[in-house]
Amino acid sequence: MPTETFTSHSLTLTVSEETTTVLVIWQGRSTAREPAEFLVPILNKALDRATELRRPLTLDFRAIEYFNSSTITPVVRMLEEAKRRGASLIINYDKKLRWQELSFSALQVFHTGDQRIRILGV
Amino acid sequence: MHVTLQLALRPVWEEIDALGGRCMDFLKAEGLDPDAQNALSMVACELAENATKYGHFSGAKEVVRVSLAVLPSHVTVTVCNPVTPEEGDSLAILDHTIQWIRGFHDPFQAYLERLRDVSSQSLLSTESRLGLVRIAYEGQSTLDFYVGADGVLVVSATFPFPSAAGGKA
Repeated sequence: MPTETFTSHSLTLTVSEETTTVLVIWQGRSTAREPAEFLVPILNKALDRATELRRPLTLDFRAIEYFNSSTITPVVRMLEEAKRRGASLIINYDKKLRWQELSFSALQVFHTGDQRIRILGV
Repeated sequence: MHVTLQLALRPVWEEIDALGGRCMDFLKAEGLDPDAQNALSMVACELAENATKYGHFSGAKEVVRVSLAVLPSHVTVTVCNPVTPEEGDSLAILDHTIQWIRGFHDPFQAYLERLRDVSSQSLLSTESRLGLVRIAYEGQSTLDFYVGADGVLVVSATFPFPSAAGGKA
């Protein structure tokens, strides 16, 4: 799978197949009224590919500047979907940014004991 | 002394994206630190999203009004939009949600509970209702609201500075 870039308004997602993971890099601002319409097909496809390759899916939020609460919803549901499928999903965020630390540390409630779902401040 | 930013937005989604930047510029000029700038801009945007979604706008003159008032001990974000009796259900949900958040000693616990609810819904469900609890947790703000006799819903979020001079860079 080559690197693919998807843009909606001020948000860009770059999906690439790395040797150890399927990587989705989030950049810009996610402010759409219903961001799930844009996000869910991309994230579902990336999770499918990661599952097929038996690699984790990594969502890298370190370069995102802002997202509204409607953006959190599909991300949380993707965590649950990965858990349901027995897939591995890692979220990376910038722990030096307080707003990211607050937002993503709360997602640690979805950690699994077997480390398949991990939320990592980098 | 307090300084206020006052904005009137058309009730269209595109206005909200620009709002974040305008709030950041204002708060930066007022000397607030970057964490407070981010938190308060998020609060203003989330409240403006709700106003745009659930307000009742019948003419071009009706707008979403946003104000940020910087005082020595706190910042208050206020967002106003017209409502009619047709919005009764939305107002009941707003009232219930604010009361529900107040029922938690720590808004973090309310946020976690809401995240768990959201995670159990369908991938394609558009329901979130995370905005207000995010304001309480990430925005560290206390929410309140009333409906004026003029049929305008006023929602406020008060963000306290950690100390009298805190929050400011």
